[in-house]
Amino acid sequence: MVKLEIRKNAYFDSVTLMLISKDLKKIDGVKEALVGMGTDLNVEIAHNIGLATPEFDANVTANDFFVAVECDDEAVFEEAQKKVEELLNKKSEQKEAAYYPPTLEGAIKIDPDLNMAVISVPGKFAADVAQSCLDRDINVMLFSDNVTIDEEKALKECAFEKGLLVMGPDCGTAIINNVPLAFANVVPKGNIGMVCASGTGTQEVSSIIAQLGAGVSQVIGTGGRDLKKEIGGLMMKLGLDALINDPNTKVITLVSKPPAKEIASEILDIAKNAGKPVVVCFIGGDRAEIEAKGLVAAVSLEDAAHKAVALLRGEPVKDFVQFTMGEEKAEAMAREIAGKMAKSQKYVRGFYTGGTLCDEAMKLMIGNLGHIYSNIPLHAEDQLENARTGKSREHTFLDFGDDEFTVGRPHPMIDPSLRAERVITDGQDPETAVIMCDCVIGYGSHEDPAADLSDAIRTAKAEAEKAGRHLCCVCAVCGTEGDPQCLSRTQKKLEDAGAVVLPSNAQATRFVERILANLN
Amino acid sequence: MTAPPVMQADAACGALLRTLRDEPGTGTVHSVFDHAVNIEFGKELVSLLSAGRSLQPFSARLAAPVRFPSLGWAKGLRVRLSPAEIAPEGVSAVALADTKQINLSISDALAGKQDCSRSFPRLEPLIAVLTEIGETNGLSNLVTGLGTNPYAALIGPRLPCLYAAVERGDMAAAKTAAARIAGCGIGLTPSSDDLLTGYLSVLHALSAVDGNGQRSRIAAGIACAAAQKTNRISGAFLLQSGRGLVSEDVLTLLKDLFSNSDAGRITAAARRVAAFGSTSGTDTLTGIVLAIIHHNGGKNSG
Repeated sequence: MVKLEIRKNAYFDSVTLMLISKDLKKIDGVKEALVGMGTDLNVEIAHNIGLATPEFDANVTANDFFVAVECDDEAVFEEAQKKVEELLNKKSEQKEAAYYPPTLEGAIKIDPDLNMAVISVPGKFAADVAQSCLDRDINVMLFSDNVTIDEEKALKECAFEKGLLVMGPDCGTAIINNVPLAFANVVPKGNIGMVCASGTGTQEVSSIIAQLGAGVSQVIGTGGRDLKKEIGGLMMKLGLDALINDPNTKVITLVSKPPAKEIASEILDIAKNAGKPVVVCFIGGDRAEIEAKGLVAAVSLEDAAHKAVALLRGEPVKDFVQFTMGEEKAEAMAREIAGKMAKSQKYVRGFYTGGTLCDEAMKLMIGNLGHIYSNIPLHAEDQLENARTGKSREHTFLDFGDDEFTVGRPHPMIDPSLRAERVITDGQDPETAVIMCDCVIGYGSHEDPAADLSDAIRTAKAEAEKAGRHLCCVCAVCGTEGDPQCLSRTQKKLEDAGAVVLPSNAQATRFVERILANLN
Repeated sequence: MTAPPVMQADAACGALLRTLRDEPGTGTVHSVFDHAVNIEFGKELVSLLSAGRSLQPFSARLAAPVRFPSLGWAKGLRVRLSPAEIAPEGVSAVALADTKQINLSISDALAGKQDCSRSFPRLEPLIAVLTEIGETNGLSNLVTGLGTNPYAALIGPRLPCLYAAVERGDMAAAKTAAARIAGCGIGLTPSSDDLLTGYLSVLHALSAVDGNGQRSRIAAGIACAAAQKTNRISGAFLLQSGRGLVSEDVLTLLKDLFSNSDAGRITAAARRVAAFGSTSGTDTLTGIVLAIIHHNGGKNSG
């Protein structure tokens, strides 16, 4: 049956219309759906695809919003109508939930004691807005990117002088006074303080801290460029100082890609004199340099979390490089999986929504694999050209959050569909042995990132099976039980699709290495 | 009762300010979105935009980011418009007095721009941007060939009539062809309208650089015919494009395309255009590409 809903003289923005169109087609019992303004040509399209009714021709005009659905019965149409209402109301609820003062001055009038602003405006305006906040002694989390390094330097120098934070630019994660900001997880209040120049790296460490039963005092982001020579690690230094002076912080954890050498030395010197235990995770950085200063070096993000919790509890501090499931079981599983694979299957394809997680996996594997081709390669010669539209090459890892993939579409942690498509495409490659994926949950992320991914895994595995190959998909979920998407529910969804789910990115990486080592 | 505070606009379309100087008056709010408001004002649809948005023809942009519904803007509200301010009843007025005036006219921006010793505009960066985005819901697959949908299937075969009519300078045939194209697609501004907006902008650009007004005149005719086949908002954008007025981002792209800019600049400008709306940006870019392919005076655009 074909059913129609018309809203006269109703205008909704294109993004909402597109969402409605996509979501209606996902409802069980909906065979076809068309959403739009009732122009002659859209009516013609409705006729062409069998969605026109006499009521349609008689009542709809170019200024009316319509929803036409071919569905099994009235109940399905009612469900479709509910979905439309829900999506439209979602927007109006968002609008009405709170008063949004149009200016900074307006916000200060409402609460003169405001001391933290989250700024998310186009890059060309971001520095000015951030400076206005600093002028009013307000700390800043600068979510916006496309801020020049000169602007960043000026902002941070000003903030440093005043003892204010500028977290960012391009800072996606922070937890301040137990309030998660932007992409962050539900982590209990506790005594581990973190200063981090990495988005999903921060999420991975803080989530594992939560999984181990501990919590965080503050999680301060700095933005990825803070430890470059030009910026001088100003916010890492300020954040570190804040945690040193915070009585609720008993253990400090620093997370970043390896900083510029002189900056690393300055940071480590401050940490050395913290008077509290400090775990340093400079992903892929020089362990000896950290330990020479009497600090605790972490070999992975997961290891950083384990060591911080051990220090907090006064337990022995050891490298965590094992499998939660046990060494023997992991080896046996890897051997069994490798044994099912065809001779042509040789390579791992890592498809990540989190840039730091992708970087960590490559750094942990590069020693054994030699070359890993990527859009964020560890070595310039391993740059994968046309990563988005081209094909993978041998061992390939892609960061779907990199600029090339986010032009004209949301970050993959919000819309993971492009990654899901790539899982299917690369699953068809006879040389693919393992597909490895992260799945980042928490505030800010897609409401169910495992849904698209598990569908893609199911499809890719089934297609490979038909072609006489056994495709292995290995996943790690970054998040906590308290996250809106729920860690265990997300893991189960992926396991039900046939994925091997490991508790961390580092363990997933080690497991994939075992499979590759067992290939003949 | 104290008057609501005044908000400052940081930029306004020159054509809007001229109109308000010549004929201030009263309008009615036509539609309200999170970051934009449209006001019926005589024959025009005047838009107010939140900070950070690309300035559109007949629009003013606020200096601060706002959500208009939260400020009390609602459909049907009466609004006074003058060169000094846009003042809705009971809601914060928008001050225009010190705002930066931006000329969005293609002909003013491009007159005499093209360097005839070179064969451009360069198309590869535009096609590369469309391909890397890989949008399949609008009409960009008419250029990229990626995916298919019923809208492209309907519009694709209708476009050659438009190209042929424009090349012949046949106004009546061009209007008929445009009327068979407009109003097709999911969005608030249906995809085919966005495509026509891009297409018309190139006709104006070509007129500006070669000093021959025929293509501009035919663009105006096409816009009138198309506007009658779509909704009020989309029709207003089409009419403005027909007059040779386009958004800041489209104007920047046209300037780069017709003034010997390098591929990097063109790519950056094309990405900004493509990022607009859901598929509106990619559809506009598609119209620009198709117009250059079919009407660039037979020049090799590679």
